[in-house]
Amino acid sequence: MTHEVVVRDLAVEVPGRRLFGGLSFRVPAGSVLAVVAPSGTGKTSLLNCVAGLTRPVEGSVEIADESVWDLTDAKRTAFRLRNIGMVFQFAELIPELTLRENAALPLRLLGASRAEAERRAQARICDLGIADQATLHPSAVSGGEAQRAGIARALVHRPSVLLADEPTGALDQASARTVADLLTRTARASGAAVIVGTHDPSIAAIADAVIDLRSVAPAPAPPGSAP
Amino acid sequence: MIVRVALSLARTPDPAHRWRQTAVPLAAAVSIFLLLAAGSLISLLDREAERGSDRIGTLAGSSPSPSDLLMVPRTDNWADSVYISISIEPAGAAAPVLPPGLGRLPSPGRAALSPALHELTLREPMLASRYPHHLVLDPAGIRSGGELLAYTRPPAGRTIRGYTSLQRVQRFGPPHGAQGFDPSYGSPVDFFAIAAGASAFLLIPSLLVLIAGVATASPARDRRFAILRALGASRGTIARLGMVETIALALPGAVGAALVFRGFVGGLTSVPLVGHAVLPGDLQAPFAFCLGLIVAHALLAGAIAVAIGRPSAATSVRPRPIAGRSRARWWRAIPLGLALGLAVGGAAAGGESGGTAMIIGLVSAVAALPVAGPGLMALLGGVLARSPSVSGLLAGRRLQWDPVRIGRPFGLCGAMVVLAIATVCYVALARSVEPTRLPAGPDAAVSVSWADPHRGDLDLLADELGSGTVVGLVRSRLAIDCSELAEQVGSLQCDSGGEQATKSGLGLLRRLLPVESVSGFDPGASTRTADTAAVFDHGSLQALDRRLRTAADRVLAAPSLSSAFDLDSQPSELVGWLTGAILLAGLALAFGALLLVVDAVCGRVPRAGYSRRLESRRDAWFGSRRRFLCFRFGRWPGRGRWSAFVLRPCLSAAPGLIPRSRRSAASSLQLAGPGSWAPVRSPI
Repeated sequence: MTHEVVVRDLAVEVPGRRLFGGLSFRVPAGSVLAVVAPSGTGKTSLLNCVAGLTRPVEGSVEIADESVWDLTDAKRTAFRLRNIGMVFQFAELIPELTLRENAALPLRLLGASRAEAERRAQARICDLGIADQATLHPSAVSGGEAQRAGIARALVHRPSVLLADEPTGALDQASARTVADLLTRTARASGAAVIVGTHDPSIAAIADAVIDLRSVAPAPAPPGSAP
Repeated sequence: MIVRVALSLARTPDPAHRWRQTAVPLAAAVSIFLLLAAGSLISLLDREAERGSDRIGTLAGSSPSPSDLLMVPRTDNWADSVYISISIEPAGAAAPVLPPGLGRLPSPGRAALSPALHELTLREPMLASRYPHHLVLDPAGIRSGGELLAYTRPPAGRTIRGYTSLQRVQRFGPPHGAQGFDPSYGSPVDFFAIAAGASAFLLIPSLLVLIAGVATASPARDRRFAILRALGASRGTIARLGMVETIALALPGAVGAALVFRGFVGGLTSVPLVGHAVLPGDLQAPFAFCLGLIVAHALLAGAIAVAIGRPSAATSVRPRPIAGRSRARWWRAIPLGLALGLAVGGAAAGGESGGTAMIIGLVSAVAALPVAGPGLMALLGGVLARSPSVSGLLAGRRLQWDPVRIGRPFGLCGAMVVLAIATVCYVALARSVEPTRLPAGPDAAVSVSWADPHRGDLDLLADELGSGTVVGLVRSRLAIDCSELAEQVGSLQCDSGGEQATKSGLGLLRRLLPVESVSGFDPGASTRTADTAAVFDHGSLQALDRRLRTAADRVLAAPSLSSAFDLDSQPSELVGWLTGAILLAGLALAFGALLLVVDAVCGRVPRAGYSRRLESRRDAWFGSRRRFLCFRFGRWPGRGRWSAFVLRPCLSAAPGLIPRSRRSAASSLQLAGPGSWAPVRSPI
């Protein structure tokens, strides 16, 4: 089993138009792919497609030799829980849980005991330099610290793939640089394949590969689709 | 962890969750209130039935005892109330068994009355003279607080032995297989109908209100679920989370409402909206039952949350909105236009047919309202959207965006109104009888029969009565010459000999006296032991009926009267139950519909057409705006027009609408007064 992501001839539509079509790429384990494009061109749709949240109209997504969209919904959900970590633009932490509890969430969903989950979450949090804030709630920390906790949550269960959607979009320049560095460094260290949707040049600069969705010409919409 | 996340979600201070935090407990409160009302009703029926069965007498059969009690049941009436009056007498020298609620046997010629009848005698001197120096029954002897019941003993020297419907009772209580005698002949109210009505008018609206409340949207909740789903939480996990969150929100509302309800019914002396008088504590359902109901209700709320929960519809992390746009079609307005045209045309035409057309038009307009609802919503949205305020613009655009879905709740109200009208009309038709045509003119007649006839009873009765003519009725013939009676009854026509009535004269007699067997006159008949008499007098039938009842009770044993007045229509208590149930169900459904409308307008504003990033920012921005859209009742901003125009008037008008709508319904449908309702009479 290889921790790589293979995307073949992917096409995604939203009501009224096709975002992109014929998109293919491969992200090996431990490498970072940056998907750059302006807003509205399909970065989030691509990441949702890879995560098994939005079904593509064409193409396939393979992660760790498993075709994501050939799985049933329940199996896909379980697969996502085991193999995919997600980082969101606004961290999206549960406000009533502490940073450590937030980071431990995937492990708890996987059935780990509370003590074990929080121990491993604490280790991740320490790696990301927010050990002092581990017992604080999201409302008591800065955006950058919350985003680090979001990264800790995404990596705590050692996923094969890390998907990050505008992880630095809500941060100032200094925090963005720190978060981008932590994200790529930690993901590489854990051997995860990383796909980052961004229009932050600093992330694109440290990525192993870059795809500009604007260069992927939308294929013609299939007959019968809404205008 | 699920419980903790769910509980924290339930009490999150996020403004985007505030509408749900309000709507779910509120709906749960209304829903449990209705369920508890149904439970209280069942408890009431059970306790009334229990007391009813306690006074069933076991007949002596072939082994009479000196302690048996002789009973003759009959009906009596006062104004528009028909009640049971039971003549009682000891069978032997021993102290007799007594019905429940009766501590000792009344003296000869005296009576024991139910508390409600006793209260009536305090207000009505003429009724009081019918029962001088009476005893009052304990609550154990009556079914309901408002039951009119009398146990009377014949005057001294009189007996009810030999009366055709005499019953010899050995003991009171459930007969357990023996032949029993129920002096109340069951209840005048069809309790099965009430139980069925409680199900239809309380349980179903309760469920609908709960569904409407649990279904209220919360962008914060959707977002939380979407994140967890993206992290890999299964549908089952999300469903359990939603269930616990819903239970956590619904339970406090249900418990609070249950406490209020128990306090509320504890002080009630009658069933609200119905007027059925109850004994203290009858409406109080057992504590264990209430507790079980609350737990079951909370689980039901959770189950509904699971059933209608759509984890895949959690839209926060989706790149595009899922809410589609709907349009109001012009043809939907046609039925409403036609109905209103008919109503206006009828009003303009005037007269009986015009009035009928107007009523048909108005009822049709109500029925057509749900069809035209989307158009009306779009229209209202257009008006609001032109408002200079931000809240008006947002609410207006929301109404214009999806008027079909927003207008859908009005179908609930419309359906309920149509159902209510149809039900009332059906019951009215099913139970209506041709009103008895009381004889015109100043003449009145009542027949009376009694037990233990004595020589001179007719004179005794005539003396007690004071005025009027008392004529013995022997073998269906009046013991008087027709021409003599014609002096009392001016419109009576006799034949040329004056002995017999003409055909029309006999017809008049039969209308005056509802005794089909009056076949003619027999002036020579012996009336020494007559046990039936016809009493004629000038004036109103009601006055003669009352006077005769009082006089007969004083001097005769177990007198039983029959007059055209008996057949006059009596309002059925069932109508009161039905009206109350319809009103309560209508209010509950209107509340449910209001929840749905407010939810559609306020709770889901941030759905339509933005990118995810904008949506996130807008969530934060709208969080505070939504408050003044819907809930800032304290410090009222001038811009909260939706609240000002819709919510506030509805909430403030609701309490006043209850008595007003009941009055108008009663007057327009003639439910309250003696109208064309079937008499409630026991088959004596």
